[in-house]
Amino acid sequence: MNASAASIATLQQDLQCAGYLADEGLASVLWMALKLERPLLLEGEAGVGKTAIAAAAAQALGRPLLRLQCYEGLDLAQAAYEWNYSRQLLEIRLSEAGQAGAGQLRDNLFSEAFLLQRPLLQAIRSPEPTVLLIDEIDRADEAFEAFLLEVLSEHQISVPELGTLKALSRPLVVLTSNGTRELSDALRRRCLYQFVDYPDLAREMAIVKRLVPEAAGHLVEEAVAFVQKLRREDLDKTPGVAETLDWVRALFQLGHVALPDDEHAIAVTLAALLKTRADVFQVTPDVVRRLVGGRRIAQDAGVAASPVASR
Amino acid sequence: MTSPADAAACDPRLQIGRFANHLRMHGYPIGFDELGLMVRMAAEVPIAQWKAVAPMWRSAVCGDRRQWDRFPALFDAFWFPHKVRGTVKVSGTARSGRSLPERVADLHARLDADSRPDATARAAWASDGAGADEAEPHSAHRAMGGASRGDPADTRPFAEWAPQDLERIEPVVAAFARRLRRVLMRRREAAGDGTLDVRASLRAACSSGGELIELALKRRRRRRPQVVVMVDVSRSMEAHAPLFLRIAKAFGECAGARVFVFHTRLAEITAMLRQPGARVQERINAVSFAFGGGTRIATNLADVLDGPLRGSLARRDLLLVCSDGFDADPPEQLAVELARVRQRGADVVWLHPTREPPASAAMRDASARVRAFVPVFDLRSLERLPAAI
Repeated sequence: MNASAASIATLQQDLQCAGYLADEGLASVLWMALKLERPLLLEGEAGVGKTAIAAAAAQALGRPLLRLQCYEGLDLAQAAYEWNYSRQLLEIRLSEAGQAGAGQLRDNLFSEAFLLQRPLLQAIRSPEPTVLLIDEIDRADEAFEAFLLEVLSEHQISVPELGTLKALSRPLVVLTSNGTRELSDALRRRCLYQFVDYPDLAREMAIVKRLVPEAAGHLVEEAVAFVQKLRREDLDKTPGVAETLDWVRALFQLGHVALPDDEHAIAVTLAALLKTRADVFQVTPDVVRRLVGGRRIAQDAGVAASPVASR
Repeated sequence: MTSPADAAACDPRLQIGRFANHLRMHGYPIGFDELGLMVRMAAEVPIAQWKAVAPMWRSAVCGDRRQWDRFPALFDAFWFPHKVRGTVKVSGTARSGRSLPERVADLHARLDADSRPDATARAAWASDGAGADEAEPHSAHRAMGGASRGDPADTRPFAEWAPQDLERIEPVVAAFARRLRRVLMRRREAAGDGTLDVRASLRAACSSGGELIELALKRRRRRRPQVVVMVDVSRSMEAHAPLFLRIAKAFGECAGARVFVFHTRLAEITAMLRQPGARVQERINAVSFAFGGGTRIATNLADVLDGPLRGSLARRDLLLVCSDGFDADPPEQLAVELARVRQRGADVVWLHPTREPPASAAMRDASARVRAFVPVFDLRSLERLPAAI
């Protein structure tokens, strides 16, 4: 195996060590994003682990993670840079008191020393490469999206008073989107695109077993099989992996080593899975009984041991 | 000994270009950049891991979930046609002469032969030639005798379309949605450009000891015009309703439209169309099949104006009615209801499945209230929709 081949496999292994079980496709795309220095756009439902990919990549690559949480109204001052007005004022007052030269003050006042760096600028001005997570880009305004184009394609930020600040190192940029708003074609074309779907039964079991190792194996298998069936129901908010983890932790805290037989006992814990009033109303104890009735799904699929064998 | 023409035909970059062309024909927006990227990826990936090319190309050319889901089938249809049993149509595209692993191996062999070790030269080689007009298949494979690049699907009636052809509706609707001009509001909002906001500027100055350092600006707020689509699913529209529902779904996705279906009763299906998953089409079919009786256009229009759209349909908004115009209500009532829409400042555009505008008594009276009648029977006619607005 040559060096490049090893690096895809190594990256996959490193991600696993960092707590993220990436499939081969995702590992390949992440490796290619590093190789080509292209941003990676991750799209998918909330709770499928998009943000976790960036955190795991930072840990796997040994790079610091810089996170920019997007929201409506996000502007340059919070995302890229801001002038340190207080310090500039102080400098002016000191200059007036010391009768220093006006020309020298003018030159210094708009230098990088008076610039407050926000995540975007921090990422490109960091001497060592970083992982920049731009989370939920679909929440930001279109104007901010347009501003990002320069950062993503040229790896530089233009500050009118200073000129263009070029990257000292190229960060791995990971953008996430829940698909609540259509992103511009210009942004999409600058990124590699990866749709992150809900994991299948076997993979989700492996994830939960890895991240909640204290829970009994039998509980994990039955709980994950239950969630997989619940996702096929017509819900407003389909539970993601994060919800499954919360639910298994809740069941573990309640002292269960397997899914309770009593549907009412399960129903009281479903607050970890169901996040809207309509969903809570829809998933009645009858529905829970029907879903629990199919708990053998995991055993039938051959990815879980039978209760007798595991006990 | 191989001739220069044969050598050019064997160039793996050309074959990748043909694959890009194949994707373009199925609606993927692939430019020179994406094509160059695909070649670079194939050149970078180790021969032993040629299978990794598929997820990499997928990430390079896909821009949304729909394209993401369709990619594997298109990839297999082009590179491994023996695996596909007529599930994907590959018309007008040269078939792959050699398999993908061989192409990846060819790329590496050429790189080794060129002995360009550094990454920049490698990238330059990969991009070189990929920027040529790969949209046009190689001349040796072009059809002869007055062949045209025009797609017959453009002028084929919608009734004859296969389900996978319906995907082509969305780009047309998206282009239309982009042309909708934003409505300028009276209220103002903070912005990077605009007029001076004295109050906000003075308030901001408090943090710097009263020094007016940062000026706050504001401009008039803009909003996207609201689009409402009403689809007639009565018996007379039974054959056309699935298509119009598909168009309505595209409007929902591209323009955030609210969608209603009606025949003698009214139902809103906006949320149903927005739910992800493969079951959407089944739900649409269920809705359209559940109806299929008479038509009361005017009554349903009144219901929607007094109910879900009370106070929301306003100036510069757009009401699209998809119907053949046959109405069981009194003929004069439709004109009255459409006049109410116009009083709110919204435009009414009537999409009809026939080549001629509807000629029922109700439509004759109401036609003065309708801004445009647009026939929608094939893709080319749908493309004329923006011109009507």
